[in-house]
Amino acid sequence: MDTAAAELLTVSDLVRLSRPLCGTTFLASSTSSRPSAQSEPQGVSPFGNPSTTTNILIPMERPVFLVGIVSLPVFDVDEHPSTPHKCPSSNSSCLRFSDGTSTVCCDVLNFGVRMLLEKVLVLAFNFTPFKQGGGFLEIVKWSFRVFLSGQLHPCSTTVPFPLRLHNVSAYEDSGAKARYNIIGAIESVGPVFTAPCSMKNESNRKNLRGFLVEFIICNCQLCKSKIPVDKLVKTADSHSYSKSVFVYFCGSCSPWHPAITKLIGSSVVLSGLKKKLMFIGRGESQLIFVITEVSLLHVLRMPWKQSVHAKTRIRGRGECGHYNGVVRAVYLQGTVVELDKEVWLLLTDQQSVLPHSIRVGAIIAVKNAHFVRANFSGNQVLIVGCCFRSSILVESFSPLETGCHIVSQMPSLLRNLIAPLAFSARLWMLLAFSSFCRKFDGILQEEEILGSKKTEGLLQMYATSCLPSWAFRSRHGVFSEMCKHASASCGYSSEPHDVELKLMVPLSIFMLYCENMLSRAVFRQGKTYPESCIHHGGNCSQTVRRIIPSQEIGINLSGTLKISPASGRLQFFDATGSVDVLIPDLPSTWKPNSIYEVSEYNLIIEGIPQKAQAHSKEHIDESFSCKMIFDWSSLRREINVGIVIYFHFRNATCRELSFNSSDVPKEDHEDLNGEFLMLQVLHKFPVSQKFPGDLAISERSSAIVEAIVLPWGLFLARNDSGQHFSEVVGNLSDNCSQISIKRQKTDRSSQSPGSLDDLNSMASDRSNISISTRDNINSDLIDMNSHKIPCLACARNSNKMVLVGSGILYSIKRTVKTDISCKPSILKTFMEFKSFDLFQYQGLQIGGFYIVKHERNGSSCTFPDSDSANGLKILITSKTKLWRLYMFPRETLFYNGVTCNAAFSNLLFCTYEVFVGEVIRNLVKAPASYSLVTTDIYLQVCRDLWGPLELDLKKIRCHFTNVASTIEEDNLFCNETGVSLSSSFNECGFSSPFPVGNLTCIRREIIGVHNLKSLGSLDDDKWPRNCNGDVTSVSIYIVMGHHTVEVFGSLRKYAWPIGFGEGVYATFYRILKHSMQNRFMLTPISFIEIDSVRMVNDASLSLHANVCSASDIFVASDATSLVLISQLVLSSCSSFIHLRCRVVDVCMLILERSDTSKPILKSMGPPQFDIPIAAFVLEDGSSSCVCWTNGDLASTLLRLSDEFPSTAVGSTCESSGCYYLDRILRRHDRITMKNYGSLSDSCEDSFSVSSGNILSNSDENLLKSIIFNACFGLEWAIVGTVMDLDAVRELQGHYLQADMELDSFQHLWARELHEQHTERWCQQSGGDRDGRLGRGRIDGDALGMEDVLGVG
Amino acid sequence: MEEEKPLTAVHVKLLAFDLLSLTRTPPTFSRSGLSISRAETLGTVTSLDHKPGCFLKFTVDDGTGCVPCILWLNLLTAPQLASRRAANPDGVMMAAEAAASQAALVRIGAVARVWGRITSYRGTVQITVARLAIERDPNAEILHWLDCLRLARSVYDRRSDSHRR
Repeated sequence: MDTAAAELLTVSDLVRLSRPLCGTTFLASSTSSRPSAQSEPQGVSPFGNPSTTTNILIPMERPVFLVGIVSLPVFDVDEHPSTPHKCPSSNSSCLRFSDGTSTVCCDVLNFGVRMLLEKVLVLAFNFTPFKQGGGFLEIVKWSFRVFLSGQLHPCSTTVPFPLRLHNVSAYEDSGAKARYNIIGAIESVGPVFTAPCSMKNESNRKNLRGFLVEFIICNCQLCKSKIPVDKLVKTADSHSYSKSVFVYFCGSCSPWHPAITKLIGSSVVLSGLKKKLMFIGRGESQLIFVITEVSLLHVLRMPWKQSVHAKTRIRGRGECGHYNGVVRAVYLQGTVVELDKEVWLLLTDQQSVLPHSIRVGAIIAVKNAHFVRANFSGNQVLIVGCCFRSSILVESFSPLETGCHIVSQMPSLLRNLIAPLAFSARLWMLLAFSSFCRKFDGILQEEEILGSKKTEGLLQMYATSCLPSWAFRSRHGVFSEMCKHASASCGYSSEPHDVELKLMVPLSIFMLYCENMLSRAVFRQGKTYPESCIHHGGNCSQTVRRIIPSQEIGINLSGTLKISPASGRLQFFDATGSVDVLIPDLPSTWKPNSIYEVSEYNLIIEGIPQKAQAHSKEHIDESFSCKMIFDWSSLRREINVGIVIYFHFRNATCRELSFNSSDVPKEDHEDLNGEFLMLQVLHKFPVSQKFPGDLAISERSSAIVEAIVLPWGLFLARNDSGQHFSEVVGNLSDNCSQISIKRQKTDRSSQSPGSLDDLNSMASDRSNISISTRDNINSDLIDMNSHKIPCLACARNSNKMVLVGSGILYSIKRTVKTDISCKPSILKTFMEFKSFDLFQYQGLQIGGFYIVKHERNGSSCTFPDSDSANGLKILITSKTKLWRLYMFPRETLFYNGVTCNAAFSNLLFCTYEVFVGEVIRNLVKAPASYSLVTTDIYLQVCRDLWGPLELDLKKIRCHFTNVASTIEEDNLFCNETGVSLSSSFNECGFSSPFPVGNLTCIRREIIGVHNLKSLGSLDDDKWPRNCNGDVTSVSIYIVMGHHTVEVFGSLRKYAWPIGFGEGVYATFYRILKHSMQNRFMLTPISFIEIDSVRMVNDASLSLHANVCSASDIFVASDATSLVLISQLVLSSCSSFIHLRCRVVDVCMLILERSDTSKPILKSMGPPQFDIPIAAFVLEDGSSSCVCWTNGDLASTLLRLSDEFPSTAVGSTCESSGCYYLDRILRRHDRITMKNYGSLSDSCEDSFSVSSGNILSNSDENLLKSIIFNACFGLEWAIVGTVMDLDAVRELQGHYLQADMELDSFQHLWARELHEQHTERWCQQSGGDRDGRLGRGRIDGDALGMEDVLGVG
Repeated sequence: MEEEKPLTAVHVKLLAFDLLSLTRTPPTFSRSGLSISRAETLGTVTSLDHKPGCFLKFTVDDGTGCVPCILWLNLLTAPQLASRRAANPDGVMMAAEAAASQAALVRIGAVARVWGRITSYRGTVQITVARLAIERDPNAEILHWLDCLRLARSVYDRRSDSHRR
């Protein structure tokens, strides 16, 4: 080795250069030759992380070397003021390298203890500067200076090294009685920690720094005897190392920590030790050895003693072992290190310090770590968790120019939160912390996320609510966890494995994840869609819509709910993005900008697969990973699919952070006191978008709601005024009974109660009624001659009913000029919501009743109460509260908290929508039931006095039916008769170009949406965007009766409802029925509301079939050949065939009860019974065959998820076939049904149904009905394999014990099932280019079918 | 080669012009020598003749012709079905209810898919309806054409040819 040609470099030179570099003495003359590790081309990351720098360290152009001394760290700089260098990392125990000019932190490969005593030549090194000054030297190759000159044999390992480097303090042990020697292998090294220490008769306490080392020693008699060290060394090879002992390096020995750590696995002899009894915890003691003043270290030249953990197989159940891996990334100030692929090294303990040399690209060895497999939202990771026994060593330094991590102190609150957690929960917590920091960056302070000593932060609230009890465990001190590690004091060994914890991710990541889910699903099905079907910025018939429940996603969502100022839509928002939300039970009193957490939701994802694929091919395999959360910046890209989150407000948790809000949150119903006006919303006009730069309009956006002020007022008196509630109810009930007697008398004379004709008699009756209110003060506010109805008001508070107080509904007499004499006085008003108050607008429902406070003495919001106010526009601000009201008449008014809440819960249970795999039923428009779920105030009204109000409401409805351009209330729930038009629209005489027709309202299912062109995409010069916004011309196809009807027109981007598209049931308000054509036209005032959403273009109709096809065997139907049944004879048994056919008969069916403990579900849940075997006759026009299948596929072919016609089963309400079969199978364990005839010949008695018990006629008929329903229904695409007759006979023999005459059929075993989609078949037909069209009268040219069929 | 199953038990998909040109060969019908007895057709309902409790006659226009269809609604009263009613009253009742509910679906302008036996009345081929369904898929009609063409080309024509040979 020749260093003559090399140049001596000083440390100060390196520090002065202050750039990452590497140097070596062995540089060849050509500077172009670089180490192989550095030949990685720049810019291509071997770690798959674009954010990670891939620049290799710049080599110095000339051969260089360093000469200096490697020394142990100095912990307490204050005690050693002469120390020229201090490691910038807190709590660090770095080795130091000094050459007299400067001192830097260093790490050494092939460390030898002797190098601590002599000068060394550094022959190859990496240098990385610190930002704070100084730097870090990685000594790759080194040698003794004297060795180079040939004077000394290299490092004689048996030379003893004194362990006391400095003067011994009074607190440490002297050499007296230090007569113990141990020989053994270093198994583990604990962290440096401080222990309080005091001398006898001294009040001063001092923190004594030190660390524990676990040795594995021999337990033989020789070792136990006090033999001299040299004899012990000579016999080193003959010992069996099995006993664990601990040696405490404390005081002036504590700097030995990095050196001893590097000796893990080495055999050493320690001499001059003392034995001490150490008390750890209550009543527990441990005998340990303590280093004394005279202690010596001998490193033996023995083969490496294999650790007990060296060959531990990684199972991920908390076991302890060693792990070697490449550092891919370091996150969160060095607390999390990504190793290899989805292996996460956790260094969260305060004492655990990340060495500087753990840079990206380095190969490290983690000694004595715990392995835990965890599942985060479906993503399996291996956690390498460090406890107090764990150490990290660098096997190979990184050749990359990645900086050193200076570990500053991690926020103590976070550390405190993490410290008592199990490893999987720790990583979860770090992920949550990272997510929260990103999600609420700029929204919340770090203190609000982490909390303070006094208040809980958002993170802690979330963790407490999410983490299971096993995640929290008690921690012990370093002594205890080191010494009692084997007895599970460490606690990690008991960590449950393969547990799944739901993550909370930033919305941007969530949306990427959703997009990938859709793309993956499309790829998996092998679907491709022609580019031609992709329309600009909107839906087309090829759009794929999926509804995925949160259980399948495994991600929790958190964010603020707010109305997007740009679109006026309700959105879930965080600092990384926003996503549209559908909340059917959004109360009108919801708090905008509050933080909500949602764990139960449904994701509606919609997109054009081609478009999604194009952007996702590179990401298609990129499943969700923890890396995304820690390093999300690299994932920023455009989202190309529509994403809507659908959840119930009752399932959302609102987090109230009390950091910056001094005011105590007020209950929503506290203001429910005083006089209120009653409103009914007639129409919501779409949010009008106004654009910045438009000088004429200064506001950004606003919305108008048309409402009527009912001629009824409500007076509410809160129940907290001291009067006992029973008294109030008693008074009201008494009044009710008195009034009811009077009413009965009157009713006798009236024609028919509740009819419109007796309004006059009712009006005259009003004067006869008088009610004494307990609040006489307010009696002057109410016209005593008007009609009054006592009532009780309950408010919804979360999912409970809370009594607000008693009240009176009173009629308001107005004199409105009208041509109808008995018309109630009605004021129509327009409520305007500015952009900041759009949240109120969102909560309003067309047709809903609302109450608003009526301040007579002037207020911020005054509603018209004079005749002249008709048609006024009133600005609604956030100060104006609108409560949704639901009135229901009762015989007697009562409130019993428990009963009411129970009734309320039942109500919710009954009326909540059911998620049934492919359909989300939104109760927004389901009459009565919806009202109850979304209502803020429930008003119990005395039934006997309800008549006048009811009649008024009917009158109003009747009145508005006769008013031009106003919807008819009944039309909201259009029936089969189709469109019911209002009276004549003011046909203004314009012949053209203005469309002429009636405004109406329809509620129908959408079967197709086509964006003809997006006008907003035109050049700004050509299209006045400022006036119209992003206007899209759309054609929406709906089913009305037996016809497909088009709803066409221009729709502004922001008027497009959230989640709108094919498969949606929607209500169109105020659309124009074209007088000339059977078409409807969208007008600028048209409003569309989504009612329910159905999955479109999914692989199968039902959830069960979906699950089945995605399970064990998946055969892409596109990959198999589509054949006719007549061609089955030519198919082999081994290959999959694909049929397009219908069920025409069910030959055989066996039903078995599986579990009776579960309740019978009326909804379409998974069946509680099993179908062991079923045989269906299939037909496709070419022939027929028998298809055998079982389980879910059989259930799907039987269409058991369909709502079964109630008439078929003599039931009063509709339920699924599953429900009825469940019910039958409660009485019969097993039912076998055979069909010897054909359903085509409908009334033949061909069925034979048998069971252990006697089947009743009704049950038998029900079975027949179910089979009847299954036949001649949907067209299926069935993938399966042909069965030979032997297999069929075996099946028959096994299940039926008798042959049925099925030999004449071809047989098939179904493997996969899809509902057949016409578009898909079109494509398949298009691909069938092997033949000619055939003879027929259809002109291929005229129909354009040549293109489809490929006829030349 | 294995003998092919007769098509008499299968609902063949034929376009109206094809269906109406079938030759009556009792008890079945013949298409270029190929025996068939059941058919499926799909098209717009263009005429209705409803005699409640007796029958519903309607025509289905598939663009190539109009197929007369008859749905019997007298299963509970027809004298010729008395024995069947006595043997299986529930079955006949169910069939009668199904027929009535299906009859309610048929309206002029609706796109109906009809399965049934091929019969003839006064020399004209018609379908005696066993089941019918109203199609809502706007592509259903054209796909029915494609099905008919494909089957005619690859099954019916081929089998007629082989039958003739």
